[in-house]
Amino acid sequence: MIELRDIEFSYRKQGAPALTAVSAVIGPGVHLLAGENGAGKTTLLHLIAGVARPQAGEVMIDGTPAAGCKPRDMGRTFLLEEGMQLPGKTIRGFSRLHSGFYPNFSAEAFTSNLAAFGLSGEEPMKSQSLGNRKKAQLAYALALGVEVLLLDEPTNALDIESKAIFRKLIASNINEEQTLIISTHTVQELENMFDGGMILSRSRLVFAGTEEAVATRLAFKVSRAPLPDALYSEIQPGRVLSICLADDMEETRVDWRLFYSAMHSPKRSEIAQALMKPRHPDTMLPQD
Amino acid sequence: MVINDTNIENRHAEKVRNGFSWHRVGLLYRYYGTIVNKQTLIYFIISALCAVLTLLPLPEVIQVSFFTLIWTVLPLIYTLAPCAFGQQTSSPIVERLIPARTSEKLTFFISYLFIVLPLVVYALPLMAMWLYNQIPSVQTPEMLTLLDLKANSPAVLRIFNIIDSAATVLLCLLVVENSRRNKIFKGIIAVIAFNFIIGMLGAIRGFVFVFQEGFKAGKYGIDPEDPHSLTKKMIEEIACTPGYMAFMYIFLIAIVAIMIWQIYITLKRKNL
Repeated sequence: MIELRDIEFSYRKQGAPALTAVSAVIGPGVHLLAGENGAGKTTLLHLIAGVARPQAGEVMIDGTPAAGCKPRDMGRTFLLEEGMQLPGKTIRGFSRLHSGFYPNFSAEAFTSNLAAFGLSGEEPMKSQSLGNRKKAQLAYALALGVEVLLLDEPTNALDIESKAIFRKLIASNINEEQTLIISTHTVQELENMFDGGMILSRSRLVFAGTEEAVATRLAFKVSRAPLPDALYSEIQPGRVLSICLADDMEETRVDWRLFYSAMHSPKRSEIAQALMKPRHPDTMLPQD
Repeated sequence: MVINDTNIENRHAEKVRNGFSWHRVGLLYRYYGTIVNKQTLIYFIISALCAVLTLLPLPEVIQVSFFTLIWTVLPLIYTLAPCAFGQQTSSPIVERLIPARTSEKLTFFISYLFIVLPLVVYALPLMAMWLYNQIPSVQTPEMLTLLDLKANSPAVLRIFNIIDSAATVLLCLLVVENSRRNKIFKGIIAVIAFNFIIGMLGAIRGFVFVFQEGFKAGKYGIDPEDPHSLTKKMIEEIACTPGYMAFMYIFLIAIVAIMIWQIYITLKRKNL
């Protein structure tokens, strides 16, 4: 479990904060990390990976600091960044140099992941397209078997088919004990995969929670005309996407893209209030 | 959401120990294999070439020139060896994510730079020097004198040279590891500057000696006809000046200790 406790982080002393007052608890599962450019997504990934230390607050993984500098702590996480350059001529070459540090690495899963993407792993990385390099790196990262895997824009440069394969590989490689955090701007491509999400806006975490917490309180509806009870709506050609309060018996799938837009709109506080309301007020314990 | 992540955590904890691990030092050798293998191969080729040049039956003047060149080039390439780690073979974050102790990373650098590389760089040329003394057909008088000077220099000076090399290598490594850009260039500049400073300290001592002893022919056994006479006398004098050597020893040992500590701090900071 990842715990973010009142994190403050800035790259320069007296500089503008890259992250401020960030608190959240992230359990196992696949989590979305979304935010506008410069919101602090990569910084948050660095803090969780333990390659940066907050000026205030703590990042804990299973009760120990993420930036522990101890092999056991460091080996729990792996971060695959956008445009990351790996040593070795091929991804298998890199695997030979690097996988020894990760005892849960599965060579079988690696080979199988590569095959799913149509790669052998012996393709020279330098001469490969950006998409193929990304596929090879994803195949490796997913096979590491780390407790916390952090992927920064994993679907960038992947073709439509490869994105579908990537979704399948997440399902087959990430077990219920692992935490996968995916930072992305293209939420729709991974729709229905997320067990939870974190939304950053201007260095602040404006939402962190599970899909269940959102789906039981908010309903995501598609209609032809605007809904009068909508907390937030977006008019698209031929349809209107709306977020409403969920009825007692109603539970819809979370449209993370729409939810992200709502949390970046002036309606954010109304939605946040709706999320904080208890699901069944009548079942609450009476207060003195 | 039901959270039960203790199993994978326990499995990981069983396999990974936090204490110092020679196995992880070995893994670091494998990780840096691309750099290490390429560098040891290139250095071995240079070293073998130097050994062959030492043993060639060439005219005296060429032998002496080669000998001087070899013993200028070898220490130089050795002290510049850490520059290899300044090559951008991957994103810096990949290295920072490696789950190894700082002491293991330091052990890797120290063992590679102070055990593996000296053997690769110096073993063959030193063997060639020994062989040269055994093969009369390639020997020339001037070369024999130079070899004698090198082989029979006082132990105090030889140890000093080793510590000097160690300090230079460590400074180069520190600069390379601390720099964000132009790592190789900065490493080269650091080596040149350090050698200049140490050279200047030696030169000052040399001037003092010369002005104290004078250039008079025959004084204190210095023969103006013998070009090695002054050198020999200076080496003896410098080695036998306890104050100067003690100062240089303390100075260099302090630099070595500070460098090792600073490299440790730098490697630790890079993980954060």
